[in-house]
Amino acid sequence: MIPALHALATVLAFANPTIDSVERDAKEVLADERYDFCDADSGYLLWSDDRDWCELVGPRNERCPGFYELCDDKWQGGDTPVAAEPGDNTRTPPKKKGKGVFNKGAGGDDPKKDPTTVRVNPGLSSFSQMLMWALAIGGLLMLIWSIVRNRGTGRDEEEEVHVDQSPLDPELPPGDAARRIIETDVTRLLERARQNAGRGEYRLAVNDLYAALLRRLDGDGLIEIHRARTNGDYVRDLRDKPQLRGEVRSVLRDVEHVQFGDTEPSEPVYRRILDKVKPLVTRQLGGLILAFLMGATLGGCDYGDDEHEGLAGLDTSPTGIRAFIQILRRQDVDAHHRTRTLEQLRKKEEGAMFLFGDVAPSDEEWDELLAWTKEGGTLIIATGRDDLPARLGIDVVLGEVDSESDTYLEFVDGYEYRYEGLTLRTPRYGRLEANPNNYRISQMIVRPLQSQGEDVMEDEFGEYYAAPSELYAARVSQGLGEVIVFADPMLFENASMAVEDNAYFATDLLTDFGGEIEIIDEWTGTGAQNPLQSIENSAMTPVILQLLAFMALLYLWRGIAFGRLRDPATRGRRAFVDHVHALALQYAKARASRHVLGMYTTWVLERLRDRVAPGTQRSLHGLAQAVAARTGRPEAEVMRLLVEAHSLRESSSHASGVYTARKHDLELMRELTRLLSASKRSRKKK
Amino acid sequence: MQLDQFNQTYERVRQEISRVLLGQDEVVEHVLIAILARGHVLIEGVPGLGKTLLVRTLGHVLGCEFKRIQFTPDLMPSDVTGGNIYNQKDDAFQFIQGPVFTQLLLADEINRAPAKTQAALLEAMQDRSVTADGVSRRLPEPFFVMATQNPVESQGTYPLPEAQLDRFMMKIEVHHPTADVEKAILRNHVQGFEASNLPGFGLSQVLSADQIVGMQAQLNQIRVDEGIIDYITDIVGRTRSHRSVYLGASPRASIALLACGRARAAAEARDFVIPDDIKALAPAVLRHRLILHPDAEIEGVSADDCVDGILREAIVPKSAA
Repeated sequence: MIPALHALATVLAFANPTIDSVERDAKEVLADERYDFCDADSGYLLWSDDRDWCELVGPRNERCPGFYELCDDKWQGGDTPVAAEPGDNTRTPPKKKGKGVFNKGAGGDDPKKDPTTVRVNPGLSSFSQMLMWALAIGGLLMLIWSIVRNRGTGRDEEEEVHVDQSPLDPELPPGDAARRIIETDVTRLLERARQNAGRGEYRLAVNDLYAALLRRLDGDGLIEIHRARTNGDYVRDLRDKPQLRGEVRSVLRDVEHVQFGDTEPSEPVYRRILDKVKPLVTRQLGGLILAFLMGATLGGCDYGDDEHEGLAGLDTSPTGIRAFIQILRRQDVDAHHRTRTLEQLRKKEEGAMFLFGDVAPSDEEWDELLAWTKEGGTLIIATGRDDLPARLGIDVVLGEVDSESDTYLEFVDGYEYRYEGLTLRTPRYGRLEANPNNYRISQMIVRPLQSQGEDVMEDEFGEYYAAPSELYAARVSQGLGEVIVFADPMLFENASMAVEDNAYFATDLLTDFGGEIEIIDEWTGTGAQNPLQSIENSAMTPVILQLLAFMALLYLWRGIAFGRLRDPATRGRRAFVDHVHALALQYAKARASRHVLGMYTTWVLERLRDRVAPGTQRSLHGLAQAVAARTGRPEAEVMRLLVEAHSLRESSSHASGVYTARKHDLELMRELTRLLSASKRSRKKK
Repeated sequence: MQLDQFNQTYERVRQEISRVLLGQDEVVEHVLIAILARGHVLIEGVPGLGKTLLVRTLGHVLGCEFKRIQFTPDLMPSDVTGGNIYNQKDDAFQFIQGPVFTQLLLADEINRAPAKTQAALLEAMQDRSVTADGVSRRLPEPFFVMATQNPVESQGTYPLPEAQLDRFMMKIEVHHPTADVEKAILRNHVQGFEASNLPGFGLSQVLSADQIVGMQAQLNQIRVDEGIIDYITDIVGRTRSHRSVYLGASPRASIALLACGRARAAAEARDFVIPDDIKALAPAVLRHRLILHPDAEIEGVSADDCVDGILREAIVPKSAA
């Protein structure tokens, strides 16, 4: 077996990265300003876990020259480390088990590790976050405005039916104009114009271009299309945009020449109009696309180059993993951060899943991972957690480092040949302990140099053999696949890339799997699977609910118009006298004073008869006597009034020509009115 | 005259008139269009807004003879049209032409004269001739009447019957100028402007009567699409079915719209009429031809409101909607 592994290692040496290439990559990657812990002038503040690497990185490290200088004596232990500056991607590795090492001046006491502030940057810059919020709020407001606007214009729904039929079909009877079916999509109109032009129907093609232009302008809210509006109205709508107005006017003039003039539509005419319409139609669309792309670019994560694509959210602190992933990519390994959940993991056909850091999958997720592994996948565990599933048959224990030699690791089980001459070091004494009752290790890889003791193990064939009781990394078979377990994640941390041959070993080990390597950390699965989950994750539920409540109140207050809106009717009840006045003006305009006089006197006389002599046909004299008796006015006076009224009535019925009212006539009418009022019998109170 | 030249001439006339008549661009435009369309206009506005000045300026710029008639209640028809006067010397009746025998006539406050006097003028407007004692005499060409009436006084007036109003191609409402315009008017007067001395103001003659006649004839070449005819018919037809209108416009209104549309098209150097021409002129052409229901008048609805509503509903030909 060992010679075979040796041969394999030899073969792989030619395919896998070389030490020089990895070292060069590590140096270049750590030189990136993202890893400012390698820059002594950056003022980077190291956490306690970061300081674990101080001695191993050492002074004058070519790959990370400034790190050792940052490990100064300011932090004396026992003080809460100052949080990193805003905008920094620093995260503290929470819940790390074990004890800190190499605490300079700590005096044996562990410094406080529990940060009170966790600055988590999900990968978006401040400006990008602002832009995202602005776009979201702006989009919501535009949606509300569009709903209100479309409801309020009272457009007939029949105008928005989409059917492929020319709106200006000359075969349509003119009276059917209101019932015609109209194409409104700009793209389809342009396409139809092209097709019509191709068939030689240039008049229809010009009409389609005309419609496309207006629809575009209408869609952008610059004009309002209506069947009763003319081209002049549309041009006036654009008064605030002089340049666009001029361009649109030019197009409309050309179209009018075709529609109403004697210009015969031809290909040159069509082309000329098309050349004018196209930039107008696509300009707006191009602006939208440009805005969208800019928004996507600015609001997204790092899209600078392929090397950083998909790495948003990965930690760049000394205890992060981003540098290692970048080094992997430089070796053409498709490694990226997995943000979606572990659901549908079975669909992943090949490659490896890398659990890194303080990630704690649930039981279901462990089932999913191990089930996938059994089907042929490779699972790499470098969490440093001691809660690995029991079925793995392996436990993690973090020990203490008592001396420098405790930081060294050695290769075992054939790996010493593959990595002959390499030195691996980690600042902690992490180790794996195999469960003797459930020994599942198929191959050991690395163990602490100072590991002690051996255990007698029984393999699956029932044979006993001696194996180191302490390991740092080992392979565990799982069906068709395998799990590679590391005692802690330190070998893959960013600072580790500057230590000895850690970078080469880690890179070389993970280059073998083919396919993609997905990094699973505590951010995996935090992406939302649906909009509701996104809202919940972003804690925007109260905001959304408030906005919805505001919309509901707005609709209750302003209401929604149904159907065609009409001008508000001025509801003003006019007094009866106003109507009388209006009618009087009509009579006056018609020069009908005499007629009015006659009508009025007739009515007065009849009313008087009804009041004082009902059911009788008294003469004027008798009527006058009765009225005088009722009113107490002198009979002679009453008689005079009645005679004048009677004569007016008679004369009006035979009158012809225009009669000019006299002042006396009006006085007579007033006298008759007073007489009529006086003739009212007062109602006796019972 | 080519259309470009037509347009340039029209613009020169308009600019020349606008030098004198400030802040009345729409009035000037409508008046010129009515002249070109061989129509007459009725101008309604309070005194002092420059109506007489407009006609006088028109006469000067267009090179036409101008006369003014002040209509009073005692004005007789013969005072307008003229009549036969016995000439003792010749022992014969001699026809003395009335002021209507002119090219540009200002009939000031036409609603102050009795109906028979109004009728005499309106007959001359319609027939472009005067008949006296069985002899018909043609009026000169071009013949343009601008009648005015005061909207605020109703006492002692004889409102034109609706049937007579129909003979005016347009009714134009003149309003008070804005403050800026009024200041400009005052500045003109400060600089020595006198309404009675237009040549002294530097006003030049742009056209002659013959040229105007030629321009009027040229309008027959302006193309009118079938869609425009449908549009005009639709608009005028809607006036007859409008809920606030008791009596809508007659076919004379359709003819007037068509003629005015052609004139406007030519003025803009187009050899075809577009819907904008009709829509822009419809209010002026229709407002005096509508008789409203009394209840609509009581509600404050005006003829302009009705026309605006009709224009918001009439379907524009070849529309993209």
